[in-house]
Amino acid sequence: MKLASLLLCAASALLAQIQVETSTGFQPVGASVALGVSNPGDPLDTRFRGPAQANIQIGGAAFSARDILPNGDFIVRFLPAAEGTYSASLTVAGVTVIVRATAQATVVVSQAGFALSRGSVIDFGVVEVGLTAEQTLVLENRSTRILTVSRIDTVATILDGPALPVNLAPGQSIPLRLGLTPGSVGFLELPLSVDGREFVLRATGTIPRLPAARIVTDAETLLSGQQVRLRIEFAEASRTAAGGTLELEFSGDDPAVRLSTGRTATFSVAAGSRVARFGSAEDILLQTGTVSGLIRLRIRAPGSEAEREFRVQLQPIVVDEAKASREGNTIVVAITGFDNSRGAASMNFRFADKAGNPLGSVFTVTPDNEWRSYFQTSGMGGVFRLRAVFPVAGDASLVGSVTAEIANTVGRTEIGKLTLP
Amino acid sequence: MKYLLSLFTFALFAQIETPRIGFWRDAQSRVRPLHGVAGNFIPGAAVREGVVAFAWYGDGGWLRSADGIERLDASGATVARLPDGEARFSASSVWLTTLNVVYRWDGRSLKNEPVDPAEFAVPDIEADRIEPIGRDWWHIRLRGRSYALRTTPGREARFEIPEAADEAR
Repeated sequence: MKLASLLLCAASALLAQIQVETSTGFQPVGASVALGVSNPGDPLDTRFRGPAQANIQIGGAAFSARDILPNGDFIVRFLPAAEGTYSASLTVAGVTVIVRATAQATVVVSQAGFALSRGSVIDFGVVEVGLTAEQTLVLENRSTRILTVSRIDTVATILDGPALPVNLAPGQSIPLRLGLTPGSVGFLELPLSVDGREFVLRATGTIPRLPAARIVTDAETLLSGQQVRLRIEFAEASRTAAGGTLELEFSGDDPAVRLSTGRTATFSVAAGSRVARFGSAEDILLQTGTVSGLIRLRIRAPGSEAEREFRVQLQPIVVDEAKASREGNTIVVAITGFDNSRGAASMNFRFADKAGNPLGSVFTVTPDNEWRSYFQTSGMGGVFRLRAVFPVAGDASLVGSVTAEIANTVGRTEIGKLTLP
Repeated sequence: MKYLLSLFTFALFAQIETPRIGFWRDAQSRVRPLHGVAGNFIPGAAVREGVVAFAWYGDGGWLRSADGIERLDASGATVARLPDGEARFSASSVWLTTLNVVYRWDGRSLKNEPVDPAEFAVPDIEADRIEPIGRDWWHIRLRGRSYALRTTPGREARFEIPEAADEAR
């Protein structure tokens, strides 16, 4: 009797060296340990602790020991292949206990023929933000009795699935088609729960890509001094809402060469649209400026890197406004316009009296220094306002009109007859 | 007559400068010069901010802000002031509509005059806002865009004023 008591005490002391992790921490095991309930295909992990450097062995189908640490911690994994009650002997440092677990039949969630274990990641792949990627899962009954699916919980879109609850006869399967739509760039992970079995739905959101784009203007060739409307059109409707920038480069020096917003403009494209929007408008101003050169427009948007160039050729001086006036005993001719060659313009003036009779010959003036100085310092492209002043020693009121023309290296521009008031 | 023409030949000189349409009030209520020629505008840096109403006629204008109403000379300098109030402008007059009083600038001071609404007429055109910005030029704001309207007889045209919100700083 005493011997039996001693042996029991010795066995208890040995068992106390093996502990199992519970919700309240590690507890000494008894002669047998119930690990819990799982489902076929779902691992059930339980952490144990034995003496440091202990030899650990486990026998029996569906059980395995893993993650064995030098301090004596290890995990017993229960991974049943089918429903049933399972047990195995666990030997730690020569002390053996019985571990038990139960596998309950449940509906198998499979993808491409492979059963997914609890916690599996269902990868929807790389998806443009705003687009929906699809994956079809299959709910299968691989058991020998009828199983019921009562709940499917997810915030992903169920594109196609059974009305719940649904009974599945042995061997029966039904598809579950899910859609995932990333709202931003980066990982998107959403839970999926099938009767309490949790899975992870994952997609990687990427910047939306636009179809091929082209830059369209309401004039095929551009001249200086123009305002044209510019649009961005896409070869096909955009699959998703997206955006980009339109950039303008100019080879010359003229701040007037610009879009209405400056040298860059942001645009957006609505899903289903073939036209970019600049704010609320489908077009934007392109101002060609007053200097000849190359205007390069470039679209920068994911999937659409289009470019278009316009060569603004040299052209004769354009006169926007011209006036002649008397200021005391002087005649003043004021000419406003632009010279996109920014060169030295020569001017001819021919005066006439009030009856239209010529007053002398043609005056030709080329104020080289003034032009050069002006264009070097103005920073305003080719625009200019010129005041030609003619002091008159006699009676300035005798002058009735002046006919003027102005020329650059490209050609001559007739200003016409300017009548003095 | 030959005597007159020979003087021309020797005495002519030329001045070249940047053309300016006038001044305008942008979407941020800033007064800015508008350089360039028709269809090629170069908005300049802001010269006044917090402007509630503005009118520029080439050789002078009016400005209304929280500080009141100001008469501006050709250089843009303030030459006379009135208390703030609802106002309409013409080249030389301001009509204080709430008081129904008109003051005319005679070059030296503001003088009270009878109201003549015709003097304050603006072009009959669709606009959210319309203000004169130069001789024969008006600034129109319509559906969030700025336009320059030229009213020179025979040369009437409308152009867009390029306007980025942050470029006048």
